[in-house]
Amino acid sequence: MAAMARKLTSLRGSQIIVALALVFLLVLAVMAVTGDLMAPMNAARQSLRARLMPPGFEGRQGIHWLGTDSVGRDILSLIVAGARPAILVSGFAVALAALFGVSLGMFAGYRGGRMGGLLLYITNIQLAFPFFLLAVTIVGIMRPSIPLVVFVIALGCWVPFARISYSETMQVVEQEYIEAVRVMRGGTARILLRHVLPNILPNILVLATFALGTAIVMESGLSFVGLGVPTKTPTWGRMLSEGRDYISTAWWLTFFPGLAIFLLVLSINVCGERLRDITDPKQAGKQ
Amino acid sequence: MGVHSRTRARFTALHGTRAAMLAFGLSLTAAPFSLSDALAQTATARIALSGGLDRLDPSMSANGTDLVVMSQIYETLLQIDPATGELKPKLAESYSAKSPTVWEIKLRKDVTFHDGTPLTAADVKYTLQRLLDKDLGSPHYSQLTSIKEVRAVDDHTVEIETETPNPVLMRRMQPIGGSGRVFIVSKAYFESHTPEELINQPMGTGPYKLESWQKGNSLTLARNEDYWGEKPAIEKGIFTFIPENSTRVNALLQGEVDVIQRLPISDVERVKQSDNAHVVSSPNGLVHTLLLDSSKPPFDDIDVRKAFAHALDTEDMVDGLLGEYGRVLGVPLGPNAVQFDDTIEPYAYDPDLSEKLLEGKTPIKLDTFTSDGRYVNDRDFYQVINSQLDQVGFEITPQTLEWGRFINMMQNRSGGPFYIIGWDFGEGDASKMNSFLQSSSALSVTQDAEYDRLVAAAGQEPDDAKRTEIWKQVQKYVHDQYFIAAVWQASSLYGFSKKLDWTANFGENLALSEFKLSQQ
Repeated sequence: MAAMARKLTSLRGSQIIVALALVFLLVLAVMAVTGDLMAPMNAARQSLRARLMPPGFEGRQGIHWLGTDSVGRDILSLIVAGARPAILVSGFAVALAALFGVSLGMFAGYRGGRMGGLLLYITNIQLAFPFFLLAVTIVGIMRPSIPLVVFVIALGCWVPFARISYSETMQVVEQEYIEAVRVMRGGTARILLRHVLPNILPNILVLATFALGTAIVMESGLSFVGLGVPTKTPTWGRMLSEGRDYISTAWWLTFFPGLAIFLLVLSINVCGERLRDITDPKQAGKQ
Repeated sequence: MGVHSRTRARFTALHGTRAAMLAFGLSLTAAPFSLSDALAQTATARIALSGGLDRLDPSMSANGTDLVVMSQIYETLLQIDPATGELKPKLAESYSAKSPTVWEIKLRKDVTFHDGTPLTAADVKYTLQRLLDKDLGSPHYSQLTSIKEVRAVDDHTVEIETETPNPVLMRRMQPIGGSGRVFIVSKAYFESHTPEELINQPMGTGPYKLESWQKGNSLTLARNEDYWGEKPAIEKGIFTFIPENSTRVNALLQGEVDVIQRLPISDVERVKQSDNAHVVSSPNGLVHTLLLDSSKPPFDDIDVRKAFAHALDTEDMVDGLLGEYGRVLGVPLGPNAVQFDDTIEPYAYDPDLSEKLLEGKTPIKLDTFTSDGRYVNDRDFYQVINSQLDQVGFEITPQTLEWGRFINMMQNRSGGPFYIIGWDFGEGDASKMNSFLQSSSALSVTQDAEYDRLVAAAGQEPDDAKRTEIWKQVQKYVHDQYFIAAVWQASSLYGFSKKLDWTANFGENLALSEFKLSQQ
């Protein structure tokens, strides 16, 4: 891990972009943890007299650097407050998806044969469902809550985890040392956790970063159609949807939350790609 | 009012999904249709409605967008004189009360349906009997149940007998106001066609007839050249459906359509400043009521209702969100209604009083539902209301629902502790209040014996002055009881191409036959 970190932080040419992405992610992570504390103003405070004011408008609370929304809330503060649902919900969702997908994939890959066929069958069924339709149906029937949204997003991104860990596990279990452990009567759980998992983990981590990007877009999409995380202050996706009515008269309502989503997903993907290059031995010498 | 707008809701839901994909796919599509400019040469009006059409059988639909189209094709016995607010004849030549329970209506003799058959008393009798058939499930049924018998005396005379004196019955015979309206249909046509055909092929006596309807895409009306009344200026009306606000406004500004319904307030300036469009508005738009469910806790306690009402700065809210296109009302009644009492003031903003009233009570938690896009700036209204309630100590957990589902829940009296419904008071009579306050109404969350007693008395009072007096008592009572926490009226706003003009007398009712071509 230490070597990995060194590689990540060493600034070589295009890696400045990676560094910038990392800094951006770090800032957002801090925002997500501290929540409202980082916001320059109270994100919930409304002022109808100062509604739909453009970026730079000076209100009673100070300067609204990114303008105000349709009930006069400060957009910068809303974006800061919205970092938490965006990052935590998608983070938990990806963790859940990885846990479920990897366990299933490793088990099926280890057993092989019919179990493997069954897994592929299940993943095919899952992939055949358009995610958004499934999500809207599930959240629409039940009352939206944070655990439900996490679950639905996890449902939308567990398949790649299962597939990758399945095929990776198949390769690993054919190695002779696994055979050796088996001869020495190592149990299934021991083999999978101690010997298979460490082998496939780097790939899973790379996959997780890309899945995180997808999950953030899913979360924003659900919020956009009004089925996202219920909070008093809007999430980024909801800000986008709420600003839609004003897109031709007050562009800042949609532009800034859209930019936040874009930058977050871009940063995650840049870092994910770098991580993939580092962990892939075939790419090692090509930089 | 047009609460039954499932189609519109379906449209919105679908559109939401598509818009999400659009936002993230970063692609933009052109407007969903385009019509050749050649059409504009004949006097054509292209109208973009804010929702889709459901069914065009006037006995089966009270949906707002359906009514817009149906009221061009079908007609009523009477109409309202916009200058005086009084009833005047339309398909009827005259009407009079023969006794307190019997109305006599003389029909015009020169009216024919679009298929050429003349309008007779048998058609009127058939229309009413059809609406009164409980099994038909008409949305107008509940407002007509006082009718005991309809008699066709001769070809052009009808008598309507009611169980008890019903002075407001004739208000149901004009076209404005949503559910409870009686549009006259042809007996021969309706008896010889299946329900499915009646929904899809409307045929009435009106100034326009259906030319074509491509479902989900567009509907074309052609001028009825044999119309009995004054010939309208517009020869063809083409209706399209654009639920998304900014798309609808852009379609108008780019000249793809000539008229749009529900122009958002935030776009009024843009339309005013454009070269090719102007704004048509009427102050008599929907009356929005913030209804409190006083049939169950916590709002069965008048102190809680009072605390709720005084926590809201309605004046500031309406001023900020609607500006010059909104007004705060003291009573849940359109100011155009004859019984409107303008001496009753709206509840004052007094958060200290609210806090005092809530003192000592356990904090009140409210799981509420909200609508988004159903009424003018409704999402913003809910947000401001919730934040003001929060400040005096209510704990609100809001959830936004799709309108079709929300209205269903309201009809089962499970729409949550409070919500906003907008009502069309175009008919100009206080009896509309019963839709949301009388115990027997499906949409009422007030179960109050005293209210029911007062309005029952008002409903049977034949003398107009005395009736108005009782309705003023009702308004006072409703105000004192805090059944409704806030009332405001939003203007009806339309965007019109500079080629066309129209005077919106009755808010929500778009009348193609009254459009005028502008001299240019």
